[in-house]
Amino acid sequence: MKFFIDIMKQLGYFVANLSREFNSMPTDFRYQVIVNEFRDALGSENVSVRPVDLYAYSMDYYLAPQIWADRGLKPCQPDIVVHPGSTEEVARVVKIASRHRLPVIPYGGGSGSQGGVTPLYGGVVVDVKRMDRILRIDDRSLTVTAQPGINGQRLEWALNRRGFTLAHYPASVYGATLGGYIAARGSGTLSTKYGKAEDMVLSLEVVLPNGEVIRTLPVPNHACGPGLLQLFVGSEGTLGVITEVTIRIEPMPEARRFNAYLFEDIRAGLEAGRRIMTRRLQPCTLRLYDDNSSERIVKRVLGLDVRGCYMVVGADGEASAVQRTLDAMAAICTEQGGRELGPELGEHWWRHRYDFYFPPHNLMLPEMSGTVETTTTYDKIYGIYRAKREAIEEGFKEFGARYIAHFSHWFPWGVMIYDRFIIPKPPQDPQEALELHTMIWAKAARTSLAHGGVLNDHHGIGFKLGWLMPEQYGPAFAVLQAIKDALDPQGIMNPGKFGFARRV
Amino acid sequence: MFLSEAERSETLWACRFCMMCHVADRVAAVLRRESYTPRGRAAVLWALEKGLLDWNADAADLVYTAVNDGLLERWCVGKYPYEELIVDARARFFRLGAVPEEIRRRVEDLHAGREMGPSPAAILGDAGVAMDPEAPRILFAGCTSRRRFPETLIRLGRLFNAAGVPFRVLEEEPCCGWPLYQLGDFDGAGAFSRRIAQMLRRAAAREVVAMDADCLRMFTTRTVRFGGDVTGITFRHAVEALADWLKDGKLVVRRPLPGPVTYHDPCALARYRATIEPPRDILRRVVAGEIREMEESGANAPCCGAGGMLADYKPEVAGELAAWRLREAAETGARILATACTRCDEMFRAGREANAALPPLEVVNVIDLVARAVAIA
Repeated sequence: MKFFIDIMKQLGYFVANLSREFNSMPTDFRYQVIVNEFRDALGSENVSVRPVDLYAYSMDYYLAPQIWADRGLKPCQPDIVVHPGSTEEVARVVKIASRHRLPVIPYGGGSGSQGGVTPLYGGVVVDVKRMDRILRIDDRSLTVTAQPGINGQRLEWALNRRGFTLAHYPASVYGATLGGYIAARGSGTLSTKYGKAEDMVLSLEVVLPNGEVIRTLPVPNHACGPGLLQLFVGSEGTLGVITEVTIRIEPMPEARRFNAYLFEDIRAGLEAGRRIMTRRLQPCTLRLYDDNSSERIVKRVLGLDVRGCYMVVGADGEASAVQRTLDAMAAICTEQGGRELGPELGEHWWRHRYDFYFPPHNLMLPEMSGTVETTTTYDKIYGIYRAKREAIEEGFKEFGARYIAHFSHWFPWGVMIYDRFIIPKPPQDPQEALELHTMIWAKAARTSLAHGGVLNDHHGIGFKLGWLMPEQYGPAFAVLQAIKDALDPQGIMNPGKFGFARRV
Repeated sequence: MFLSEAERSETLWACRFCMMCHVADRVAAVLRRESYTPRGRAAVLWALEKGLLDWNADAADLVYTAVNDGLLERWCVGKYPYEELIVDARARFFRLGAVPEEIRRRVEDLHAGREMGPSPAAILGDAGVAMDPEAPRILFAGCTSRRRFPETLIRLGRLFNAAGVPFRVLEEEPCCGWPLYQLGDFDGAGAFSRRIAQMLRRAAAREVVAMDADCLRMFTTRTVRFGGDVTGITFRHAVEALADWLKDGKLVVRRPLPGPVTYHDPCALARYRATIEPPRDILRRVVAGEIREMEESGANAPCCGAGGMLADYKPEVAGELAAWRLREAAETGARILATACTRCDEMFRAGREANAALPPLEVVNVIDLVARAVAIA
């Protein structure tokens, strides 16, 4: 009997080992086969499986993977990185991935803050930075057509040399790409006048999840059915890969000038902003910092020693019109109790507008922070500000939570509140840190939703907020999921994002 | 290491998740891969420290594919010393023996004194340039001048003679150690630094005039830190000396040159030494036509491609950087691109030869322009 048991044990051991061998060999072999298919499609030099490359593509600006990495843990990495140089090559990549049911993660500048490019389930990262050409500048219609991988600032410089501007100045402009602007529904510091990315874009070329290449209609305004264009704007790579963008440009303004005001109370500043917008004065900039933000950010970064709520206003265009707009805004701000600080303190902000996002000024580890921004209508904005401030400061008092906010993207009907939480000393343990991070986000996001806001104005969804999307949309989320399923039945496009059900 | 542990750690902390300088990194723009962005490199360095990646040639490749031209630090609001972080990382790879094969071979060549070119004493002596064996002033040619531009070296020698400024060269001019420092061989760079300092002291040198901007940067910012004692010796670049001589009337312009001319600022002069005006002052005196500035110039000028020894490691990438800068020079409408560093000369000339599609543009060292204008060439 003992002999029999020993034999069985040995046999079992042998079978188990054989099984491990059997399972690992074909996997490695399959992996190599797939890598070779990509190499055949793009050339070996445009396909990488080097560990250093896989690591470099593992994260964007989202804090959660950063915390993970900061604590010395291995982040989610892709299995393969590819660098297509054309729409046709993107299509080839997507077809191969589709055939092998491999996740596809489009990647531009990696400047997103929502984990949109984090390869949660591995797969192939499609870096479009090689596709960085300006294809056409139409100086009669004022549009530019370009590939998605062009760097935002390089595009801007190229346009400036021709006397134009994209008028899109996001904080991420030095690293972000044109495709990313569109894929994440981005916004810039002059959005109050020139709109967000979704307002600027005219048309797109997109590689669908089955590898087919489509174009949306040549113009965005029509009566030819629902807007296919806007289906892909903000889709964050979950519905396809954007391979070409036609977008509006502006002539360089004859004048662009600024002024600054100080309000004792945030409500007075908000009311001044509302009046400016509802009188349709069209400022290019309207930016109101709350007291905490003025103290922490404005003073530290700009060196402006202000107590109260700092507001910068700006106007651009034809010189005399600019002066009229500034005068009208001055009257409203003064009427609401704002004290004029003078143009230099406004111009200073404009010259240093990106400084806020450079270390050591930006919010970054070891502090834990998050931009829990939202947008709502004017009637709800103060309520949402109060509620979120309380939710953060009171709800997470034991962690020393601070709340800072500014109001920076204004619409004819309302305003975006760019609010952030700061935990000065988050837990060192990565699991604990992430749990706290998630709890704060959940609290902030649900407070926004409960008070009439949306999950996000312009940072996007990614996987940071994906899990809250069904909650935000309610029954309407099924419509989004159905569209996703129709376009991408295998679910290969950027899985784990947007709250879409995972299929691969 | 040139960075203290605290500086290195802080720089790594700042750069590992930040992409605010990506647009300023032309290597990243040419390669268009995340791993070769400033953030990509820093993130990988972080992962290496945490043991998530191996210190191997693949990782080293990222840090050797960089120009280290100081532009990223200048761009950065926080002024983190990114270049030093990269050089520091190179030194770590080198110490671990984990550098790419090309780097290992190049370091061997440098130690063996290969590709140094003929000695300046022979070049100048054969050309009949007068040297004063007792002069306290040393003309330091540098390897690139000796190897690639002996004629420019001879013209500089003749300009010394025309200005009536006595000089001499070291009997056996060694490498300044800059390439070894950039390649991460700090022991080698230290040995070279100490050797050259000793030679200069033995020669009773009071002033060294360098032709190569990188040699000058080595002498003024690195030699001492590597243990070379150069106390009492002043260092300056050839264009700084020439600008003075023209201003003082020691050199007289006889044949003003036709313009328009544009000027490329070497990073070692403009960014690290703020030598921005002297070469322009020279051009204003020797060129009858217009001096046209490129969009990015002075302390904001990008690298020609030679920085960080990139031209030795990835000549094709360095060549693209050179071609990029040449296009910018051509956009000014200038017929001459003036330079003040022999490494830039070398890059631009190679870039022109490799790219027939580039607009016609004569690449000329400022030394040669002065020689033409004062009619000694």
